[in-house]
Amino acid sequence: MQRGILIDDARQQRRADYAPWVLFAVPLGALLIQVYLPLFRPLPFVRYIELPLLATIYFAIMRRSQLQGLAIGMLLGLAQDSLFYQKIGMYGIAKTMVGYFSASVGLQFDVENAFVRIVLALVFYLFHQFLYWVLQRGLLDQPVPFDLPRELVLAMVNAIIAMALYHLLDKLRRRE
Amino acid sequence: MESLFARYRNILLLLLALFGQILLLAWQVKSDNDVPLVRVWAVSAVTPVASLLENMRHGTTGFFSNYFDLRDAREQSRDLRSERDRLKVENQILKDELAAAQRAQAMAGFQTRTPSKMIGARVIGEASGMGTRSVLIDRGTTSGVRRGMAVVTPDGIVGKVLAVYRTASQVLAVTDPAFAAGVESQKSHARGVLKGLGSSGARVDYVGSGQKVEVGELFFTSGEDRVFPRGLPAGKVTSVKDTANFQEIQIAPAWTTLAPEEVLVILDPVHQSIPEATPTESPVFLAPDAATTAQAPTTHGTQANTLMEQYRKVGEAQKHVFGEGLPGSKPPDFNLKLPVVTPVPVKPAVAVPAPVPPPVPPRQP
Repeated sequence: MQRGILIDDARQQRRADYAPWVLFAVPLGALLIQVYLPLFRPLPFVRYIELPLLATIYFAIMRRSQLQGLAIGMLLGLAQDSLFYQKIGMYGIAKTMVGYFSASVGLQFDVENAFVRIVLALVFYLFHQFLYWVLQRGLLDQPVPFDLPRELVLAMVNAIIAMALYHLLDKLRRRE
Repeated sequence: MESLFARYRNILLLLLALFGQILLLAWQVKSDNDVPLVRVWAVSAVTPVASLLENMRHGTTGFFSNYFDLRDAREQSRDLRSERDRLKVENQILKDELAAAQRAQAMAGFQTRTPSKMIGARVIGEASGMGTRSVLIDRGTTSGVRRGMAVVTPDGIVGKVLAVYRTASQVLAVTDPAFAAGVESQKSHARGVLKGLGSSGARVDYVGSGQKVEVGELFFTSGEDRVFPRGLPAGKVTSVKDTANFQEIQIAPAWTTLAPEEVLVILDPVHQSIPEATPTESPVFLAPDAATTAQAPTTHGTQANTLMEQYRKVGEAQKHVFGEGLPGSKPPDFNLKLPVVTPVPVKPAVAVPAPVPPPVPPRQP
């Protein structure tokens, strides 16, 4: 089991390469879906799917670069803050940290393993939500509760969606 | 120093990014200001794509909405069509049942009126060949049917029993060339022999050229053939052609115009009289006869009074109250023969005697 998920050969250390348009279009698409799809009356549940977060985690772990994870997370977070019309920096800080740490953790694991991906998505979703909650309470002084059972369920849902999404995004990788 | 920075570059950049954002947040919170520039960038990046998506969504939902509307309309149309077809079938079944009930009623009435002993039978098959025609009925020896018995309906003769089996019989139709029966015309009582002509009907032979037979006149069975009792309708004359010795008379038997589902087999024939000819074109009235009303004596009343009196009499005779029936209810029968209405004469006003002048005394010379 341990051998399956941890890096044990050179192939697993290779960083994934993507066309520039993928690095631009996928985060933008994630943002658009996050902002736009909940407007559809039959699709209100889409707001619970954190596609920008899942995109951040994916590119961070696949690029195997803390700086790139940091940059993608920060840009996506700030854009999300701007579009959601809230204090700029809330999602920015949360996603910056998620991008950085997911890339750090991803360096230790075989990130092409579906189980690893699910666990990373689940853990970092919870981490992101918790961080956001802390920022809300600490920086904005907003006494909002942290609904752990609800967040756990949403984390699992997002993890399952992440598995399918990452499988699709793998198709956009450049051939080696 | 440089190697230290290189070593901790990533974490330092992270801290820098976080610090910068925290500062931005703090500034926003403290000054209650926004960072419009960042929002403008983000919104500008997203808006064109969002507009495009919205237009696509609008077009797509419009298309699908129209599609589903059309599909619903089509389904509704299909449902309505099937409902209409079902109602048509139901209507036809009800019509058939009504017709069967009317036929049964007519049969029962005919059986009651006719002195001959009869038994009802159902037509279960028909055999039509080159000019020949026979039917199969569901009565046989077990029901008392014998060969040569007459088969009739209230509309007229159908044929005679050709072969009898235990539970079925074969009937030779009146239009079959092998069929023959003695007949008599209704008005002039001209006698002849009715013979089938295949599918084209029947003719009456051996009617002398001196005897008067009219088109439209009815022929009845004469009872001379010992198959059909006297007085049953045989057919209506369609053409008459005078030749040297006999007339060529074509008739249309009831069998050619009707396809009976039920027939009557005459078990014990009893002769009856041929009914008197009645005026064929008697008028049908849906209101009191205007001619009668016009001809009615109007001594002192107006024509409207007479007409009202007609209505009153018709209503009284049938216990019908005018103005109370719902639309579609049965109207009174205006064809009833009522006694001629004699309008009630308007009583003249009582004459007041003129005041008698006082007697004038004779003038004295």
